[in-house]
Amino acid sequence: MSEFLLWVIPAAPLLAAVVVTLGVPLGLRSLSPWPVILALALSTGAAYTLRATAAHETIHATAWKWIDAGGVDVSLTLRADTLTLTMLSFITLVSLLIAIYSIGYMAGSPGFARFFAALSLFVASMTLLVEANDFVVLFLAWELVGLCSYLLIGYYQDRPSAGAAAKKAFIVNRIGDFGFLVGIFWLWSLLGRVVPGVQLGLDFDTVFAHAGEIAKRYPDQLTGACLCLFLGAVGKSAQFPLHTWLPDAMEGPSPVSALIHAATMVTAGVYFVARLTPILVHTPEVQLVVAVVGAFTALLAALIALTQNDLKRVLAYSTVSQLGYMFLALGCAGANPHLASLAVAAAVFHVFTHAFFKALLFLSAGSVMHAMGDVIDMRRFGGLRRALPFTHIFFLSGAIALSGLPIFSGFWSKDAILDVVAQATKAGAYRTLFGVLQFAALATAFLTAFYTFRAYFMTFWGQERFPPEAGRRPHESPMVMAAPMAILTPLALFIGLVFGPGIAVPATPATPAVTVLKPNLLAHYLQMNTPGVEHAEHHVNYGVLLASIALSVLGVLLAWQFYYRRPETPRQLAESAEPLYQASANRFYIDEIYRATITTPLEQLASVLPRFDRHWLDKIVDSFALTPRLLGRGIRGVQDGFLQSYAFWMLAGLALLLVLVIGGVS
Amino acid sequence: MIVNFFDELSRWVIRSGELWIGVIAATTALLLLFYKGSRPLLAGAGVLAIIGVFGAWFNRHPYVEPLLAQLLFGLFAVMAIAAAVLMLVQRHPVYSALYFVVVVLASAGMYVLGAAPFLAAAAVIVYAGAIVVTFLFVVMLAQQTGLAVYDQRFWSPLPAAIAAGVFAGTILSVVNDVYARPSSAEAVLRRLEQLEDDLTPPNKNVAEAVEPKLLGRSLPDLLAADFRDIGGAEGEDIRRSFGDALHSWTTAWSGRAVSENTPVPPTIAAPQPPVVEPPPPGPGAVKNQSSLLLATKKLLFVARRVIAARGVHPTVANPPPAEALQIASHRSRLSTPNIDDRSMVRVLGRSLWGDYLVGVELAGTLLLVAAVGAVAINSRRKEAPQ
Amino acid sequence: MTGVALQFLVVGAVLFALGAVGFLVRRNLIIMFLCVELMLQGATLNLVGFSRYHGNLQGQSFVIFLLTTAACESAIALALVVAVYTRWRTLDAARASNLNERTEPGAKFPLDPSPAEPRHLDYPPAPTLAPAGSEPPVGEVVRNLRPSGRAGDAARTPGEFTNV
Repeated sequence: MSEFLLWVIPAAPLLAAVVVTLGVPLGLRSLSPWPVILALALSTGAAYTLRATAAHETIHATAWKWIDAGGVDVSLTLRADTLTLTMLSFITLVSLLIAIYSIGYMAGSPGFARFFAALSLFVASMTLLVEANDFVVLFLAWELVGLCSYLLIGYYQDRPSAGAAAKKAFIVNRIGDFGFLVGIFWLWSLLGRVVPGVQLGLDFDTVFAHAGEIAKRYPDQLTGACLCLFLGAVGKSAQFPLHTWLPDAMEGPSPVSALIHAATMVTAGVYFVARLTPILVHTPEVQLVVAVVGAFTALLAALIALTQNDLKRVLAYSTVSQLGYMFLALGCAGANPHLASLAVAAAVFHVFTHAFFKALLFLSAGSVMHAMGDVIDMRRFGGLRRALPFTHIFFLSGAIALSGLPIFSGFWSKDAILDVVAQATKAGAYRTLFGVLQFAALATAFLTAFYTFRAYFMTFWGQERFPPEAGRRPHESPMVMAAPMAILTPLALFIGLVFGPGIAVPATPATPAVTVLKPNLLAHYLQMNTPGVEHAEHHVNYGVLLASIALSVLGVLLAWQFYYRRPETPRQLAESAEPLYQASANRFYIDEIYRATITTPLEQLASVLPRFDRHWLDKIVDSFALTPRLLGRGIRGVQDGFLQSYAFWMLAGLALLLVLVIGGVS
Repeated sequence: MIVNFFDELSRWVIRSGELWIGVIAATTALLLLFYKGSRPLLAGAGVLAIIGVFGAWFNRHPYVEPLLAQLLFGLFAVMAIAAAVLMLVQRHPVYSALYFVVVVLASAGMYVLGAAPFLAAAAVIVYAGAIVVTFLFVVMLAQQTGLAVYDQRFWSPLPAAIAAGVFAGTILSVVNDVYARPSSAEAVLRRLEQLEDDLTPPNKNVAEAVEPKLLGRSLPDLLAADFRDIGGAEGEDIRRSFGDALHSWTTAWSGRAVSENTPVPPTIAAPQPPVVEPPPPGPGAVKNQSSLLLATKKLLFVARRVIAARGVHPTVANPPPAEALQIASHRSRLSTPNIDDRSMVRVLGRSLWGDYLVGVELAGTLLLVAAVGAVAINSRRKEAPQ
Repeated sequence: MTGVALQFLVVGAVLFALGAVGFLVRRNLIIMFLCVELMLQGATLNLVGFSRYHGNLQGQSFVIFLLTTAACESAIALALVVAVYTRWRTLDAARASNLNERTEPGAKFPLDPSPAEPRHLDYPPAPTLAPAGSEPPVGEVVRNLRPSGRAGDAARTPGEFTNV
């Protein structure tokens, strides 16, 4: 039964995509959402059923043997352990809600069926990704989600900027995928060297079982392979230096941004690195790199988000920043291998909560866009809380959750991350480094609160004004759009509390043992059979707790001050620190640097090469074709139709023959 | 392999060097004629040059026939070649046809010298009489007013002359190779074989027979000139057997009898040492057929040994096996002239109707078909449209 | 016996070579064929020489057959030449160059065919009878029978019956 459910989860959306595609020529375009909704509902139900019933054992379900060549043996196998089921639980639910939302958002746009088909295909690929049992199937799904992201970012086919953004997303992802592939091959060869003569698949269990041996024999090579694999995660999860595609991906419709670029696809990298924990514990250098990259990205993105005027761009940079947080958490295991369980638990917890509140934020931004006639520049509208009351509530909930205000979800998950970072600063050899990273993490927490509420105040407070595209009166979203947001709101606000930290009473002389009032549900759940997570900790770091509360409240207050009480302050600050402002507003010129150093030389090379191809290579090939023609012309000249010339050649040949025969004979 | 080939080739050219000079001279003279037109003086000079060179080449070979026959043959040959050359360079087709008649007449003369009188007559009748006349008729029918343009110009004489020169030179050098070693032993052998054939049938009256001589020299003399430089044991053998054969020969032709005890080896392949026995002097001076035959056989044996010892100049790397030489001696009795055949015409007729009857019938059929065909091709029909 | 066949072979080879040169060099069809006959002469000389060498008449018999064949072949060839001339009005071998493959512009052919002879009326038209019931035209027919004249020489007045 569980295997069947495991297959249903990716198969149902895949089938729905096929059905929708086939329905287009049959004229069933308007009915496209319904197969998708049905399929996603099925997947959600299956995921939760699995979560409820089968949690102790890892479930494996094999379909067929995919590659069976020589020493390579890959079969299409699905796997469900607690990490997978955790990921599946929010992927399927958020996808379902966003699909329902899209019925309203995408109504009336051309390519309605195309959207739902691509969406459904995306969900199928994403679930396959988290259910993959080996590297190769995971990479297959990795590429598929990249493809669907490309299809959906470039959804608005009449906008060249959308097409460019789709290409950029795909190409930047490709750079990461190159690293991913190299890592796979490298790891495979290492495994082959350690376990010679056996037909190998690259499934996780085999690799994890032999990881220790590989690390003992080829530590440097294992480090290299893991770095390459991490490069793949960097590309997919938009970390520095491959983060440039995510803000541009906001060209796609808001549901796409919500689903793919907030909740699910970008978290694939985090999932992957979490999955690799049993290998990464043997390569602390890689984990350090992970942590540094994560922290740096988090701070960088937060700094950029300070000055963005496009609401969705703010949210996009916020996503990048939060993803950096997750990688920072995962990398803390490099300080001390015993921190691995805590690190993974913290990161997965943050992924879990982040999915809900970020999706909610994006959906509300979409609602704003819908009302404002596709205008999303915050400078062109203001004071929308009266015109869009519900959207206001939804956005506020998401903002509160993101900022990490106490009690609400973001607080708990961010706190878990800061906790593990703090632990990393205490133990191990890299205390100073992690001290720096901790400072970066705290600064990012402050900035997160600040820019989130900046966006909130700029959009919903202040003088009420509407852009001309909004029409006569901006109206609230219809029920089909509001309902998913309404469902998401309590989830976003309180899911951290429910699944989050344990509450334990410390030991007193009366009660010698620690009394656990509420266990850390998620950590316990993960600990059950996720490889790499051995134990669940009940850890509460009060210092970190207080610090994060203080920082978030400070951030909110500062935003209130700057954008509500004294709106002229930001401009003054910007003018006084003009270069800093310009740098932040122009995204630290990273795109321009890439263009100058990489894109332009490649374009010039591409413009030179056709000339080379035409003038040299084609001429060489043409000369080959010319040879028979010249030869023929020469030989054809003998045939002049003149009898006596033929007779002459006969006589000459005869004379030559005689000379040869007689001369040779004598 | 290519180097080897050129090595052989150069050696071959050097061997027949003087021949090639003649060929090149002839080709050049021919070319001059083509380019300068038909100038009698130049033509005559060229022809004389050719004759001179070929004559020099010919001189290396011994005269084996009566001088008159040789002179006549040379005359006819010169006539034929000169007429052929002149035929080629004429502007008017009628003149060419007439020079062709001269060629035919010259070859008729050569046929006569080659013991083919009927062929001479047939050639004159058929070629000069029928074919050339037909040519002349057609020339009249297909005549253009005045000299035709296409008769004035030649088409690239140089390559044609070179090709034909190489061709002729090759054949001539083969001939040269075969006959390059002046050896009278072969001539003697031939004559002796003829004599042997003549003497073999019984009851021949040889009272009037004259000792055969070649160019005024007796056959043993000619043979002796050939084996003078053969040394060694074989030379001794040959001299001994020659002495015996000479004695028999002179005895037989002077009318004395020759002993029959000496064995006569029959073939070339297995020469056996002869038993030397001085012939006893015989009574009388009447020539005896059997003694003549015996003397002939002895001398034949010696001649064969001489030829085998000297070796024919190798024109082939592997000389053909001895059996091949027998093929040449296979003669159909019908095609061979016998000693009492008075006329070659009779022999020719016997050969044609005896050995080659089928061929004759087929030739007749061919003639009939050709006649019908010639008429059919040009049967009078409606005037062709312009 | 050395030179007996030798001289025949030599002369035969020379005649053959000369015939070959003549065939290649001359442009008149009839002369070309004459040169072929010359080549045959060389061949027959060779045969007679070998016949003399071997002492039998096989060579001479072969020469008889060659003679026969040469006669047949010349008859047919000359008939063909006449037929060809009737059509082409020229005996130039360069006239028959239709199978040439030189298609490049400016490719030169070895020879330019000489101009054909203008057509004369070689044969006078056969006399025909007047239709039944009409008077046969007497004078014009006689006039038209002039062998070297052209058809247009006969004077025609309107109304006169001509059967040219």
